[in-house]
Amino acid sequence: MPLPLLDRSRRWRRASLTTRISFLATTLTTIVLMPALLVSWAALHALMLEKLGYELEATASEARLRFEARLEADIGKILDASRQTIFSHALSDPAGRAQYIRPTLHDLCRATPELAALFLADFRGKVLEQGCAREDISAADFASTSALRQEAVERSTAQFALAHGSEQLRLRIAAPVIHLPTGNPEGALGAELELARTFDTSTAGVARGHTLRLRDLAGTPTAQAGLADTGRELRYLTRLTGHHGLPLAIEVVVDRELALRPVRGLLAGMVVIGTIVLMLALLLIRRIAHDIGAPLAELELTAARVEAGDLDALPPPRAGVDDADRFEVLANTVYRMIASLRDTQQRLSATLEARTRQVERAEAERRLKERALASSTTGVLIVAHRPADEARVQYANPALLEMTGLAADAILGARWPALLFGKEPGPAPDRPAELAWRRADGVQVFMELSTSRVIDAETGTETHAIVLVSDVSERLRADRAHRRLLESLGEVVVEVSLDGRLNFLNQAWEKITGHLIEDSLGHAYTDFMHPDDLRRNLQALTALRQGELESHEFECRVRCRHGATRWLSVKLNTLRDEERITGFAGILTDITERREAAMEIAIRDRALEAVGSGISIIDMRQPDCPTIYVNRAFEHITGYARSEAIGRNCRFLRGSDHDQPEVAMLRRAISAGRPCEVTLRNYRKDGSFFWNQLAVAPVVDPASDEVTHYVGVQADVTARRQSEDQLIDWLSRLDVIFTLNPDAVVCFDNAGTVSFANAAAETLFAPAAGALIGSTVAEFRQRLAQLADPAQPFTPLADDELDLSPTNAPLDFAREGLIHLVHPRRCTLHQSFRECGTDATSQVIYFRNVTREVELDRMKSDFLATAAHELRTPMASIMGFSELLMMRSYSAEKTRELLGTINTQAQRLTGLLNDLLDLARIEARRARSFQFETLPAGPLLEEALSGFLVPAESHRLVARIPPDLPSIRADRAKFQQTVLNLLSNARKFSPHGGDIEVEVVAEHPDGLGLIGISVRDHGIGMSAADATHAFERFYRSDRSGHIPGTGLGLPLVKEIMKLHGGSVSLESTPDIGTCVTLWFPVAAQGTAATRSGLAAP
Amino acid sequence: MSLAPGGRRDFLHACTASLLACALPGRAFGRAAPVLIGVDAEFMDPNSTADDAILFGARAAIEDLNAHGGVLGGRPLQLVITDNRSVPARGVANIEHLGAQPDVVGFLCGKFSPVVLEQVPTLHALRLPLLAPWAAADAIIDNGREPNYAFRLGLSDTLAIEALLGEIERRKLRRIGLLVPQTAWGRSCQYAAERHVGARTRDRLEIVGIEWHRWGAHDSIPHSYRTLLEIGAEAILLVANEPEGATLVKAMASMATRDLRPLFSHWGISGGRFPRLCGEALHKVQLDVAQSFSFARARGEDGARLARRAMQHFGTDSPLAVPSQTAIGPAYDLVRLLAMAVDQTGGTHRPAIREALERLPAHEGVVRRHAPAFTPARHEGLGKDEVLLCRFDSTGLLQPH
Repeated sequence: MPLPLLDRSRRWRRASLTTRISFLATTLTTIVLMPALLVSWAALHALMLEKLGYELEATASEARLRFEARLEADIGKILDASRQTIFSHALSDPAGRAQYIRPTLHDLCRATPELAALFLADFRGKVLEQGCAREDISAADFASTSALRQEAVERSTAQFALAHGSEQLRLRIAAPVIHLPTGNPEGALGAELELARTFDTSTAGVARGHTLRLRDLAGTPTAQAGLADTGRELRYLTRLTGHHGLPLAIEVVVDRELALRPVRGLLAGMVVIGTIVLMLALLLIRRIAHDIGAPLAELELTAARVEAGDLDALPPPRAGVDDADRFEVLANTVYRMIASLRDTQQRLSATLEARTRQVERAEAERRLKERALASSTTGVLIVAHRPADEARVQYANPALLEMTGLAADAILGARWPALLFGKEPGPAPDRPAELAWRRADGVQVFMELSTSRVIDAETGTETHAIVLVSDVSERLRADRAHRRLLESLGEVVVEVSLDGRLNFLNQAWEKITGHLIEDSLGHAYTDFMHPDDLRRNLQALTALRQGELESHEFECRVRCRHGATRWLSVKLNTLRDEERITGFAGILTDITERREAAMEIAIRDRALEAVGSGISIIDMRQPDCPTIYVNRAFEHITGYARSEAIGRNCRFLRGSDHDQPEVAMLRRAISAGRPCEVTLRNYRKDGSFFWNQLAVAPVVDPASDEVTHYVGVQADVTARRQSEDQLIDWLSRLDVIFTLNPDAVVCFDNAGTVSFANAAAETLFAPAAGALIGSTVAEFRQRLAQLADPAQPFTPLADDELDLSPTNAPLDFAREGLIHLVHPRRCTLHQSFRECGTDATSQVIYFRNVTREVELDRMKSDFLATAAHELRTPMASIMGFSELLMMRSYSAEKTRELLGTINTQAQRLTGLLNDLLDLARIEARRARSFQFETLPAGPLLEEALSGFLVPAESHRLVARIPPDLPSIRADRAKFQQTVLNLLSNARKFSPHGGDIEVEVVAEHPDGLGLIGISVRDHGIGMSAADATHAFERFYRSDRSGHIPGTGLGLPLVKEIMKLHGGSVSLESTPDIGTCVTLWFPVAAQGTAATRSGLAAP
Repeated sequence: MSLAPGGRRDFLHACTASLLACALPGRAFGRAAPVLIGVDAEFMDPNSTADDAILFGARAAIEDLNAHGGVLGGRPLQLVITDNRSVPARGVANIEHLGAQPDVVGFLCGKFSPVVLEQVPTLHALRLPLLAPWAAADAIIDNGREPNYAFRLGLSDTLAIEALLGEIERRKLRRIGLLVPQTAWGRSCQYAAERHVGARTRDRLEIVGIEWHRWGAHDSIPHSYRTLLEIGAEAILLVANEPEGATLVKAMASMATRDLRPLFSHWGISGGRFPRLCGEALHKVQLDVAQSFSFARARGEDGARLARRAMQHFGTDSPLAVPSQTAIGPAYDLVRLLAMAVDQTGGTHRPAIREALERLPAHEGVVRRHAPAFTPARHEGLGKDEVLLCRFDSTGLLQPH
């Protein structure tokens, strides 16, 4: 190291503290400030550059987006054009395409100024038609691009490529042209775009102060916008995205000098500010150094005085020191500290003196205690523990020497505990131990040793042990005798201290509870008691402890070792020592088995009481076998209280009803000593009757094998009996109903066999009575098929309809159907099914006889057909003739004739409708529309007959009306309608003519008060079967249709007669004729006259 | 199944190769080099059945000839099939490929006249005889070249148009509307129609309007029909292929009866599955179609046998149900005529074969009796008497009047 620098350094080290602090602080400030300024400037510079970068990026992105949009639009035009059908068409039209393709291509060129070339090529890329081509594009260029077009055709997608033509960057596009008939690309539309022009057009006005360039990846600058390049410049490059993989980029360039000018100004400003800050720091540091240096110099002087021991010469602490002046505060603190040290020295001297006096007093005390030990009857042994050595006896008092019979020199220094215990381990510290010691004179001495350790407070190690030895030989012998006595007891003997802890337990404790005695001793006795029992006896136990009770006796549960509990009977007595209670002694007796037996009996009693059946126990050993027990149910059933029943023989329940065979049965069973079950008629206390189902069982004494008791169990079965009776009643009624039911009912059980068939079903389906029962579904179906009409559709039960599985849905009305039987008689049955759901009967089939309804339906259909026909016939005439009249003009006579026909037909129509209306009205309103009067029958009949016009040439009306006919009660109009109806029928049903005879029958064959008017014809008549249906509505015996009618005439007559209180009867024979008689009730006053009148000849 | 363009071409090459490899003559004729006949048609057009018909006719003739020993004293005949996809440029490329093979003695073209017209200069440069069973443009034969390598046994536009106009005239309809494609074929038909009408001294027919439609873009056809209707056309002369024709028929089926005019169609519509494309609509219009051949008029035992084989091949119940049968007979006859010419020449020198075709002896063909088929001044094999006018019956079969 050069010497001048060493000298300067040495000199500097010797300079004052103030000078050194000021120099170091100045250096430090400069070191910190200069890098901070440099870093700040660097950060600002970086920020400025980043901002510039963002600007360039924004400019480049905008330019890119505009350029991409423009380029996409231009490419879109070419691709759209390639999809035009005109180009597809041109591929197929070599001769004519020039006329329309060239103009099309020229139009596209004009619309897209950036296009340098546009042409249509065939599938090999050969140019077919050219739209536009710049002069600088040679034929060789076309040829070189044919590969691109061929690729477009082969791949069926547009192809793009960049090319440099005449220092201009161009984009070559080849778009496939689809040949429509095959859907394949068969040509291509080729184009070249001048990218510079596209770029200039699209980015005009984007860059202000920057230069924009379009670059391909080779980096050739091809187009510029904005300022020129100056050589030192900043650039930003952005690649075109997603443009068919074209390697194009846009670059933004800016002049570096221009861009960084603000950064340089910033640097100058920071240098000026840094200088000013440094000057100010120097001034401040100088002042701070002076403030630190002055108090330190003064402290140095004070330290020198302390060193010299001249403590009193120290200056006193200065008051009123400014807190802000830390160095003044420090000096003052040092002065106070020195003063405090002086005080402490004086206090320590005084303490030393006091301690010395205490030690002297303790020594005097020790000598006194040693004398006491020597005079004690209890042996004392002091054992010293030395580190890394065995414990050795340090002191033994004379009493110990006497007890052990050892000499003092044999004891002192001997090893402990080998001295007394030999090879056995010594007594545990702080726990008394017993030792049987045989003295040298042969006498065995029992000693009790208790050891207490002496621990060094500082080191925490055991330094000494004091062993107290007592001679307990006499006491021990008495104790052992006493203990043997206690251990022999079966009861637990316990001694409890005043605080409730177990002090003594004998061996019985372990036997009963399983707890070890040594584990139990010391525990509170309450720890072993069941909490419930403790709670119950707490008050008494508290009183015992407080001396209010001398003894307390109770039963409690004790927790045994393995979780079980046992019942103990406890008797506790107070132990007193001169009136003061010292504890308690007690005897615990195990009563668990006894209690369990008692509990079992109680439970059984309770069960007997709770059971619903009456129970009685009879003692067979006593005379007359009295009842010794009855339970509550017995009281409930019989109404007798327990006190009334006990002591009596059970026969009192039978009252006076002794004549019961079951009683004899019961007696026999009892005398044989057997169990028995009978149902007896018994009577309650209030005399009411009940059925008593009684079961008796003997109780045999196992020792003597003798029946000692009988237990009887009674149940009141009156309700059940009544239900059974009711059920039998219902079943009888149902049986009658089913038997009388005219409709057949067949039930199937779960096995699919017929379990029940009523009488009607047997009659209809069974070949013999009872033959249906047990037949299967298939057999039943076969039987139905045999009986059914082969001409009618037969829809028997399908297998699945009678599927008897329980999951099957219940049968519904949808499965209903009709069965037409021909055997044993012709009838129509409506069958319907029902699920029953019981085990015996799973399904019921109900066959309702609907023969009549079906027949009625058929007649209605017939009627409708007839009525329609009847209504249509006159209507056709009316329409036909009226149309004739409308179409042509006839002479007045002809017109009248035609109108007459129309009128006749209209009347016929009206008559028909009236019949229908009458019937409907009568049905609807019954007799309310009738006006009954009492009218003389003769004139009434004559009046009616006069209204009947009979065609004279074929028929003749022969009326035989006797004079003096009685009056009848009738509606005049209805009477006439009825008679005319019969006359009309008589005429219609005698197409070959003949007499129509009207007679009056005075007497009803049954002697009723009726007068008959009969109308007889000699026409075609009808069969007996037709005659039975003649009064049914819509029924027509004539099915040929030759005889007009609606089938309503006779039903109408019947209805009218019924409302008159009379009747109508009909007799008919085929080809002979028919006679219909109307029976009218004779008016009251006219009856006798009738008889007399008719009786006269 | 869709194939990539390259794959599709490979597929066709594979088909051609397999046809060459599997051809029966290979075994029958030992090692004699086959004599090749090209078939260049629109095989990839999904709607066209004409290509299948031509191929079937040619193959049937070759089978018959090879069964009788082939040509040139034992050389088998064999087909080389190329697909022009109805694109003229492909047609030219295909015949360049055919012409480059010395054993190719001629080729049969498909139904698309524009393709064949574009091939005419090239086939003359290659001196490759063209045998046209279907393509109908007049300029294919009347090409102004000497010597002329183009021969046709089928309808020319003039023949077809004159026959259709004759039928229109016979039905006393005067005002005619033309619906023609904007292609060379369409212009050829237009020219033929105008020439025919102009030649009528008594001015009985009148073309009231011509509507052009673009090939493959058939949506405008109904509109064109409406236009012709509005200017008073009484009959429509239709020149179109089956997709355009079917579009028109279906559109007409939904029109009022008063708007329906009888259609007289060139045979373009019979080159595909026209009845199936039309469906029920076909029976609602009155449609006459010009045809060159029908199995109903097939001649001789050869004709009957050809009909049976066609039924079996195309799986039809009736010979009249064979699709595009109008091409089967001519293709069959043309191959047989070419074989005669080869035999007559005694080699495969194509200019000599062309000359031989002009000087063939009389031959009983299935289409007609060729006596002779062609002469130096006449390369059209059919005259106006051979034109058939047919109608679709209720089952979609073309029945000659």
